[in-house]
Amino acid sequence: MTPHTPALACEKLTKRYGRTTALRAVDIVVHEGECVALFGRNGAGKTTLLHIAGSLIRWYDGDVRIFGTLLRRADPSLRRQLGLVLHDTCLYLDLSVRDNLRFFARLYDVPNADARADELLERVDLTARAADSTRALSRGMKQRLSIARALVHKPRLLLLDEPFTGLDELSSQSLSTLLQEFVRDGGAVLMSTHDLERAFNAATRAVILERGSITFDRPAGEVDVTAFRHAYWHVLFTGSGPEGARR
Amino acid sequence: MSTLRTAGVVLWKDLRIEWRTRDALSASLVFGILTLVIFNFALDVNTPEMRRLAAGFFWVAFSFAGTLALNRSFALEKEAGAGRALALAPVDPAGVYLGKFFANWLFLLSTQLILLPIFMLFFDVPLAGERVLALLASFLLGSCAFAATGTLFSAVAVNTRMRDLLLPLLFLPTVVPALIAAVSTTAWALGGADSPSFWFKLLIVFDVVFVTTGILVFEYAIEE
Repeated sequence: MTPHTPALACEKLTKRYGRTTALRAVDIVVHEGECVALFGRNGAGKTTLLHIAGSLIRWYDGDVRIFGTLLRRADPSLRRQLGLVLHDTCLYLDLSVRDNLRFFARLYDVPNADARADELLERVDLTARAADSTRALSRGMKQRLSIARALVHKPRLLLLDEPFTGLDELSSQSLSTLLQEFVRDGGAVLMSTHDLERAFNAATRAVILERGSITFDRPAGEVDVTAFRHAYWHVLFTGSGPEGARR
Repeated sequence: MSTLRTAGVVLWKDLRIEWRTRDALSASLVFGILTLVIFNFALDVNTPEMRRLAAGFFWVAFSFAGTLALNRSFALEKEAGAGRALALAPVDPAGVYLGKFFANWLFLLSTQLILLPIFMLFFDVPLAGERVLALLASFLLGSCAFAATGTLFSAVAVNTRMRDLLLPLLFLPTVVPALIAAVSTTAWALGGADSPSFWFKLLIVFDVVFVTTGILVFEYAIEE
């Protein structure tokens, strides 16, 4: 791996479900130290892209490389580099909050698994609920725990499917800060979201996916958020972006 | 991480969940006891003929009860998508299979041991001292066969829409040879005359074949 090897590189990525094409020859690269926010209306292909990058979907056309390694030929140990937050929380609802993190920490062979679990519980402000059943948590708390689960093994690439879902203002701010720190420490993030304000707090790049194709891709610093919002709303309501929004 | 260590972590998780909820054990016990009660009232169990068939009644009750526990095994993984996070972990799928298998084996064996005194009371069957070990071996090997096949088929069934129906449809016909062998060995342990040695050998072969099959094909069984 060279110093410039991207954390995630998708080349001509195409995925079809029967007659429906979810992704059409998508090229996207995410480097370490980048947080890419992926916008798009429902069904645009955001979740499919994240599932393929997370190796949850194995059958597709094109290539996906994680830190330079071709995903379809990769050893399972490559998955140690990935942290995923999906639409489902991927938690055991009948385990306690702490036991969920302890279980995943042990599964990833994290040294001092119990200490790591406690450290993350504090980071997502769930220490007071550590002994409670996960089922008893609110949606927002489960989301915070799910984020802690994705971070428990210290991955280098985070794939987040609408991570702000269910979070209150304080928790959203906390997640934005957490993502900023993760990226500052050299991690890479690809997250799908509909929440412009919160996403731009953490993102270094903004991408719009429309009907399976990328139609906008710019550094977040170059984007006028108000103009972007208008362009994005145009995408949401008409299904296609105005010329000015295209890359 | 080694396969056995993965198995240990998954076993720890399933035991913790069962300790907190007691779902698998309580559901299968209630069902098993109910079945024995119905047999007790529906049949005149105080005849020599019925005592000869008692082992069969026990294993019928256990089969129904055990299927409930096995159905629950992978429902845990389906709820909230937890199984996806498990499948993404960089561990040997065989370790996950073994962890789930050992957990199911423990639950099934516990169900049998709790049902046993109730069964002996209802059916008035003697348990001669020298045959207690044979009965325990019969329970150990029989429940091992149930756990080995049930864990594999439960993993296959859970990703289908008809999972509650599919598991018994796949699992019960497959486990029939082990069930017949377990009934025969239990019947001998409860005072039967026919030698159980062939049936014990059949149970051992069945267990070895299905645990090995589970280890080898589990990776494909859990693919969505």
